[in-house]
Amino acid sequence: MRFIIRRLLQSLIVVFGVSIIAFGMLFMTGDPTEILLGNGADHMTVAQIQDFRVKMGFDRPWYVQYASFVGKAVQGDFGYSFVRHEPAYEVIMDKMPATIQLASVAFVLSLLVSIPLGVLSAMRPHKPIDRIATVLALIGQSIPSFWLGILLILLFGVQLKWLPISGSGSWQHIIMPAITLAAFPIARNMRLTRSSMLDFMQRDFVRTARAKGISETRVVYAHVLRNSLLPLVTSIGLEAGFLLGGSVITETIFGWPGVGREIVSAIGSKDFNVVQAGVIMLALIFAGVNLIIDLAYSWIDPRIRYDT
Amino acid sequence: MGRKSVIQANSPSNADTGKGQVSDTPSLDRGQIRPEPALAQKLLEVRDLKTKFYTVDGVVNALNGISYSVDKGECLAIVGESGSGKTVGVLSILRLIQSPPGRIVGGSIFFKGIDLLTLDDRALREIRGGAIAVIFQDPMTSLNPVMRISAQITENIMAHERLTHVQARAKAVDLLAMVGIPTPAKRLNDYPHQFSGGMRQRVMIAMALSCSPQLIIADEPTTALDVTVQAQIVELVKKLQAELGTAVIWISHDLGVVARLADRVAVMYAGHIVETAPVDELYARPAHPYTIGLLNSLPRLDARTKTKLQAIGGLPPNLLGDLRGCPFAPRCRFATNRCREENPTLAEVAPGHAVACWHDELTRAQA
Repeated sequence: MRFIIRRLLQSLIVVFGVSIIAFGMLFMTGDPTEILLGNGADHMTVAQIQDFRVKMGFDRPWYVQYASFVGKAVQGDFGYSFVRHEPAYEVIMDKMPATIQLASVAFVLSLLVSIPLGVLSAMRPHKPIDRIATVLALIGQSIPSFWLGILLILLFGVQLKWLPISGSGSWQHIIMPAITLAAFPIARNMRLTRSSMLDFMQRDFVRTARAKGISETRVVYAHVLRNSLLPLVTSIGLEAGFLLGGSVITETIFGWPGVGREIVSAIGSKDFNVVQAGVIMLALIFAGVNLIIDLAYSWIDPRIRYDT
Repeated sequence: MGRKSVIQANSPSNADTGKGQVSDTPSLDRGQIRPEPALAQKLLEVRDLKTKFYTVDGVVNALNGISYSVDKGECLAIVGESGSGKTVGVLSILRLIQSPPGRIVGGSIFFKGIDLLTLDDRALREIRGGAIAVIFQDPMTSLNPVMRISAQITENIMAHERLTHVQARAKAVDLLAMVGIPTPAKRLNDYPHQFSGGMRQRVMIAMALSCSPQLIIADEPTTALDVTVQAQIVELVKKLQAELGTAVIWISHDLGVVARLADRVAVMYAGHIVETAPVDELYARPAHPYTIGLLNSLPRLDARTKTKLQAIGGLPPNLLGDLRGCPFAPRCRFATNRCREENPTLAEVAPGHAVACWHDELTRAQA
């Protein structure tokens, strides 16, 4: 229980840090008043501009502004989108289900492919299946996702016409973006599983297990694999963040209506409230997922559970 | 392989599933289980066992044809320094040698008349953890860190006996009580890291005893433990052996432990057994210069103060490649040209006492 509370506090610190960065973004790009007014400032008097500054609260010291920003943000109030004229929070949360859906499918896909492939490779090192898997992993890790996405669209969308090339709505729509997004994690986790398995195969307790006369299958799954998952879980935790936040490119290629794409277009139109809302909501989810991963870690490795 | 990793450190491949650890030596009769009537009284009979490690640096001759036997209920101690082949010798019995690089290239291992080297994987698994159990050297690393003790013991039981999970757990509690673990029913749900080193070794012993083995192989089970805990473990094994009538092969480089525990001793050097004798005979009348050196290098309580501890000069030979002559010759003060040319075989010098030395009478007279 103490472990959970400690991890929870650590997550809060992460979110706090992100909130400072998100808040600071507005100031790092210059005087927020000028940015927001843009060309409109040319037709305004100095007094009008000053009025606007006071109205927006930009004349107050930065820490007062930050406090007010946080105070509103915890209530889900990130201000209005200047472009859409609706609350920034709602703009983001409208897109959140699509992002989570894509990330989840890619996440599950990556685990379902990478772990069995890694186990197979480790069971037959330097044999054909291992070599093929290694080459695939190399390709998966080195192909940029925008290029893989375009290739998939060309093959399955344009040539074969099996899958829709853009948008969302049916289960067919999610296949190509999910594969594009999962390619890198599949490759990395497969290699990690393989090397971790090979490492643990050499351990003394595996020899003990063999000396008991249990089947080789049980040796591999009950003894080697469970221990091999430990280093993998760390990687999976980072991957959750990568899938949520790093899906910007994939969402753009496939016209997937998610948060990443929304943030990119908000940056383009200097719609800072939406950017702030998006960054902070993604950070919250990222921190939440990492908390779950940490708890999973302690479930897999009893030493962590009891030592803390 | 714990402390024995010296031999295998040059493994060309760290990738091994541990399957098929026996070579395809054509001289061995495969697929047949034939009892050997002449050997019926011996529990275990190892004949001319040869194990090699095929490393990137070349072939390491870890076992160069060792032969020994163990009777029912007997405790045989195998002593020798690190790298002499003690562990490889006993792990070869259950084909637990990491393979590759290790390979058993010759010899036979008869257990109750059945050659273990001819068994298929399934038949071998029935013996492993069943009739022959192993206690490993380092209890800190020999238990699975993420599995409860209960699961680690019951999986051994259920691999060999038709018991339900509940029955197997009940048996595990009894076993833990037998090896002296307090509140066994409670400790059963603990993980290895919640036990001290001595307690973990007790768990290992409980695991080894779980299917009433006829032979226990104990590979330096006390080396990683404190001296006081060592004594407890030795007493425990002695007591259990007397109660259960189990035969034990006890590997050690600690001659003090061996004196307390063993019925018979085999001394190994560079992959050979150089001397074997009943324990009292060996300590009273050692015949091989190496054995004499080992016994002389023990610190003695009755020695005069300020006497220097004696050591055997030189280093054990490199087992890479073929050796000519007696492996101990370079370090032996009795060595002659014959020793450097021809390797002596074990020859009996007294009932039950055999030694592999050309000059054992000379060495004994001088010792």
